[in-house]
Amino acid sequence: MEITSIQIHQLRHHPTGLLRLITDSGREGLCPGITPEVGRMIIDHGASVVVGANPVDRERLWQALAEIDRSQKIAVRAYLDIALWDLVAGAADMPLFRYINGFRQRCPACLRGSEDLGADAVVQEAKQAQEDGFAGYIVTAHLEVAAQAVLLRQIRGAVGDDFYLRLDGNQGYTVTEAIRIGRVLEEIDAFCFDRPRPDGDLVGAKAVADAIDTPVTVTASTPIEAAQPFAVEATDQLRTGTPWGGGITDALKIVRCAEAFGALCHLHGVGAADGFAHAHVIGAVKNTPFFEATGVGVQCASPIIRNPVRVDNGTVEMPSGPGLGIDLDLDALERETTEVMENS
Amino acid sequence: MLIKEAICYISEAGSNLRSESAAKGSIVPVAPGITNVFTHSGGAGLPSPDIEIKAQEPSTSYQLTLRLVTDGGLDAYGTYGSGHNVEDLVWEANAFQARYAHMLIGVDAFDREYVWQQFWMAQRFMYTGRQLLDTIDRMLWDLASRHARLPIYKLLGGCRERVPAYINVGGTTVDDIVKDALRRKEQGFKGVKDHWYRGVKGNIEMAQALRANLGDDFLLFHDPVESYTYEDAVRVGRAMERLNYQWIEEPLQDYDIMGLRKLCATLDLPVLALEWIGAIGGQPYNTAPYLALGASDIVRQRGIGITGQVKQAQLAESFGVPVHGGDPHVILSIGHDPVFETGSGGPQPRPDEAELDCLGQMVVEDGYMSMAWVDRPAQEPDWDAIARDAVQVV
Repeated sequence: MEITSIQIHQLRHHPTGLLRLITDSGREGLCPGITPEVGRMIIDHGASVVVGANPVDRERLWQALAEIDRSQKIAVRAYLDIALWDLVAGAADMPLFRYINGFRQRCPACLRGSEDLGADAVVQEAKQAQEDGFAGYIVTAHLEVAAQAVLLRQIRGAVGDDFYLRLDGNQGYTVTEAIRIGRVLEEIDAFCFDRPRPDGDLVGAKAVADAIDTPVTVTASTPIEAAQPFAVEATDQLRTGTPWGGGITDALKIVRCAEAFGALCHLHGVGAADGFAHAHVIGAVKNTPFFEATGVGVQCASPIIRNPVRVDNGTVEMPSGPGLGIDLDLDALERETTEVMENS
Repeated sequence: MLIKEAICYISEAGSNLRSESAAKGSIVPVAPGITNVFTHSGGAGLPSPDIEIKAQEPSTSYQLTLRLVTDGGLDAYGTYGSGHNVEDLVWEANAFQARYAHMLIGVDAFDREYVWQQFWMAQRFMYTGRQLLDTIDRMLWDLASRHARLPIYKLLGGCRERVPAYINVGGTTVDDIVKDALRRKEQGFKGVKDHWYRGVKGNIEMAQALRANLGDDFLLFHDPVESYTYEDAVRVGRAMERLNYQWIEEPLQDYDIMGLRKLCATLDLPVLALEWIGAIGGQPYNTAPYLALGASDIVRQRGIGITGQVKQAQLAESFGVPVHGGDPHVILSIGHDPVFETGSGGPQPRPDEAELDCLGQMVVEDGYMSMAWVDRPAQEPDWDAIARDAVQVV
């Protein structure tokens, strides 16, 4: 099989389009969720790597794309990597998570809280998440320390003991503040404290991780960044995500690095390819505890996808069709397409 | 594709004359003047005790084939055991059915990660060792390979089509090992590795002779298999640095994490470790702290399934550290195992096109390892015939 061209559709009523890897076999590899800017970068920088290649040589292609991303300071490997995985797993007639290495068919989901709510509304949202069947709630509201402490205690009071609570520090605390918040997280038995310090501040992260019992996470957006925090004991858990942390290949390498250290690795948000990529990675690994949902039901509505990733009763089911398992609405694609970018 | 049942076939597999002789794998003091420490008795150039037992008659050997029947038209299968005693193999088959079959039946045959994790835990709680994990995981990868009609390295994501190869050499004297190495060089191998146990002085003399006779560009590797003290390893390592060796492998016991760490810091020559640590060597959970502590410059692969080897390789990659050894499919799917270790068998020519299928067969030719394969389904076993000819089916 050989990839003969790349086509990127942009859509009339949707902010993101569709990447298609066209092959000489009639099969295609897809990755939805492509903005026009990203599409242009893929055509300009990634096309020359994958066009003419056999998609089963994924690792070689991933290395070449990663090198382009490094030198150009861009991130096109994610989308092409995802489409390559879709293509090869589709050709083998296997759902992607099983093509990789199946671990599970469904996974509990946490709700990622809204960022711009008042304290009362946050408590309400967490309570609603519990009622909707989610396994937990990720607090993304960011208040000054004393108010944040009150809010965290209120949330725990509202949801009771048997519900996971996480705080996403969003890189926004000093070490001193993070430790003070950390003490409250210990008190409310929080699941973890995501990135209390800015990405890259391993010294600060270590100070926080050493001080508090609640597990701390730091961000890894390349496999190399995954090993270092563990080596210097700057973190308890990792977090990564597509597309900013690369594609499925990157995510697998990062999650497996964490696994070697006996650690969990979270996948941030619904991720690239309208949620399909994270669902499949989670289906193929043991040490990612939750899918991070945007809400109940459909995670990323798209006019061209008939079977969007859904979270119902607090659970995400891994798509079961071949490859990513996207059931593409070809009529809608034709109707919606305003422009097709193609490699020259 | 769900696993519906497990069937064990015990079949005849030829016959042989059984014999055992005195094994050399302990320690001996080496001759005075060479070094002042003990070394490995295997291959130390010392005569072995003249002890041998030999059977009077050839005995029939038997093979236990495990088949995991799926509802998807293709089954997973592999060799689970062998021996000369049918009763024992029948017991082993029954034991498999009693102890482990329930961990597989009803499971999707492509849920290899789930199965690997199950059997990883089982090696602790059920004392199964690494062999069971390795066997089952490989059977499931083999099935995926036949299903997708792609060799495993392409399923993993092809990275390269060939890898330079070296081969292990040996001999009783320095002349022997030089001759052996020259012969291998002529066959196209890019380098050789010794497992030589003559202490510091003897091993440095060997290394000097190899370099002098094989030229500057030939790759040389040294594996003393845990026979050095830290001090020995520093002295040999320094000499080998000057002789442009590629690495020193397993110089100390892998358990000696402080010694290995000190050695990695001291030597410019890369130190390769982690083949023989804990209940299962070459696994990521031990490798992670070694790399974090700087106790290994290159990490070893062992047989813990394709799944386990991918984990080990990707951990090493996240440290920017090379990995070495293991399954050729894994090696072809990564970029950071620099060179392939050929067993003592030597070159393996490319089979005739007619013998090839989608599983692929390893080729070692002209100094490179590669995988010969064609897009053709693998011939499936004739289970009816196997059942008919079996001594027993469990």
